[in-house]
Amino acid sequence: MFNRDNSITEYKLDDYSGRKTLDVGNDYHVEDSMIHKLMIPMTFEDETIQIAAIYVGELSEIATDTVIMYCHGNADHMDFYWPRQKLYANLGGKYRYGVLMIDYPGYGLSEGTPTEANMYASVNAGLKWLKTQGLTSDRLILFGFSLGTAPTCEVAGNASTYALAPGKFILEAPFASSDVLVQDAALLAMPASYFVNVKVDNAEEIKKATAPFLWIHGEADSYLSIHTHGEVVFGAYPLATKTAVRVPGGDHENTPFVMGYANYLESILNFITN
Amino acid sequence: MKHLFFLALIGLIVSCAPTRFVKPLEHKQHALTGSFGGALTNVPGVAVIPIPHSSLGYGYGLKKNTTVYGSWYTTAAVFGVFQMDAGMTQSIWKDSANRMGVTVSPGVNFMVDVFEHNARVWPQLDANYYFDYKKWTKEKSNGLSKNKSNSFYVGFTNWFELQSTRAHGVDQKNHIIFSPQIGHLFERNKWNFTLEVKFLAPYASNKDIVVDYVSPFGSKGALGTFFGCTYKL
Repeated sequence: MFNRDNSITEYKLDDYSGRKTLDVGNDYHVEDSMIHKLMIPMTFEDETIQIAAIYVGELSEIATDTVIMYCHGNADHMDFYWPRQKLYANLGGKYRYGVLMIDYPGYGLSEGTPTEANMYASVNAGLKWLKTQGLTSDRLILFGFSLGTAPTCEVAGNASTYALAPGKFILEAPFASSDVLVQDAALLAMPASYFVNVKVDNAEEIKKATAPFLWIHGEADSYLSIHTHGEVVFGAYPLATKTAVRVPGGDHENTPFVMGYANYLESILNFITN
Repeated sequence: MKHLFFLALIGLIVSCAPTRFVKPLEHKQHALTGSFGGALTNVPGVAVIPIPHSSLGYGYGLKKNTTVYGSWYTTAAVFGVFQMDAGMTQSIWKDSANRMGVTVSPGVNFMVDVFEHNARVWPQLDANYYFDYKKWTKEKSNGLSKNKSNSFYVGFTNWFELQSTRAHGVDQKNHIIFSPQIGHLFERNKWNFTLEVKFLAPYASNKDIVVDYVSPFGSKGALGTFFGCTYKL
C-alpha cells in the first residue's frame, strides 16, 4: 500500500545518489554539525519500535525557539526529502528554525510496517521527542506534504490527543480524502472502501483545527488535483485564519522550484511570522 | 504520495467486463461465461497492464431473441467486494440473411464491500451492431454438423451514476459514462470467444488522478482490453 523504500542501510543525505524530490543546489547547504540523526522510540499497540529522524539545528535551542516538524510524502524515505529539509533549515536565514523530519514506520531505517494508525503514532513520537527537548505547542509549526498532510490534519484536528498541538500548520499539495482519490479515478461516486483500507479524511479532520493554516498547491498538480483535493481541504477549514498560495504551473513535487525557492520560503516565512 | 492507495482494482470501474452477449443464445440454451481485462494502466516499475478485472457468469436463452444473464466478479471478491451484474440481451434487428444485427443489453451492476457495507447500484445499457464476415458449417464424420462464424461488432456501453453528490458534498458531474467499443466474436459450436477494446469515457480528463491510464486520446479517457469466453451447455 505505502510506497516506501526500506532498502537503505544509512541516510546519505547530500551524498545520496537516488532520486530526490528537488535539486536545491548549494545555496541551501547545511553543515554536518547541525545535522542530528536520531532513533526515537515509538510505542504502538504494546510494541516499541525505533523511528528514524533527522533534526537540523541547535538541539539546545529547541527549548526556546520555533521548530518546524515536517511530515514528508509517500516516496521512498528521508533521503528523498532531504532537499526540502535543507530548504526549511534556511527559512528566514540559516538555522532560523529547527526542522525535524521522521520516517514513518517501514520507511527508510524506521522499524515496523506502515499503517495509517502507526503513521500517526510515529508523528506523535516525534512530537514527544520535541516536547522532551523543551518545545511547547505555541512554538510548533506542523508542515505536511502530500501523504504527510494526513498526519498533519490528524494532529491539527485532534490536538488534545497528541503530545503537542501545532501553533500553526501548513499543508502543501494535500489530498482531501481516500474517497476523492477513488472517485477521481473511477468517475463514479463510489466509496473508497471498495478499493482501499485506509480512511484518511483530511477534509473532515481539518474542520476541527483551530490553529492558523497555510495552504500551498500547484495549479498543475498532475496527481492531486488542486480542484478536487486542495480546494476542498482549504474550503473545509472553518476559520478565517487561513492563507492560500496557488502556484501557477506547479506540479505535485516541484512547487518550490516553480515558485522559485526564495519566493516559496518567503511565503512560508510570512505565514509563520505574521 | 504516488501509488499510496493504488490497488489493482482501482480505476474506471466501467471497464470491468466486455459485452456479455453480443448475440442472444438459442432459445432455452444455457451457457457459462468468463471474462478478464480492464483499463490499461501504467504501473511504474512494472509495465503497462490491464486492470485485472475478472468474472464468472451464466446466461440463458429465455426466448429466441432474448438472453438473460448474471455475473459475479472474482477479482473484486479477492479484495472484499461483492460485485455482480445482471441483465438481458435483446435482438432488436436482424437482416434477412441473418448475417448482421443489432442487440441492446440493459442491465444493472451492484457492489457492496465487507468492510463498511457500502452498497451501490449502477444501471447499464449496452448496444452493439454485429456483422458475420465469415460463416460456415463443418460436417463431421458422424453426420453431425457444427456451425461456426466470425464476427466483428461495434457498439457502446453506458453506465449511469444515480448519486447527485460525491465525497464532501461536491456535485457529481458525471451521470452517464459513455464508452464506445469494438470487438471480435469467434463463435463455435460449444465455445464463443470475444476480444474487445473499449474506449473508456474518451471525453473525460484522465489527468490529476492517482491512476496513470493509457489512452489513445492522450489526456482523455482510457483504453480497455478484454477477453471473454462462453461455454454453451
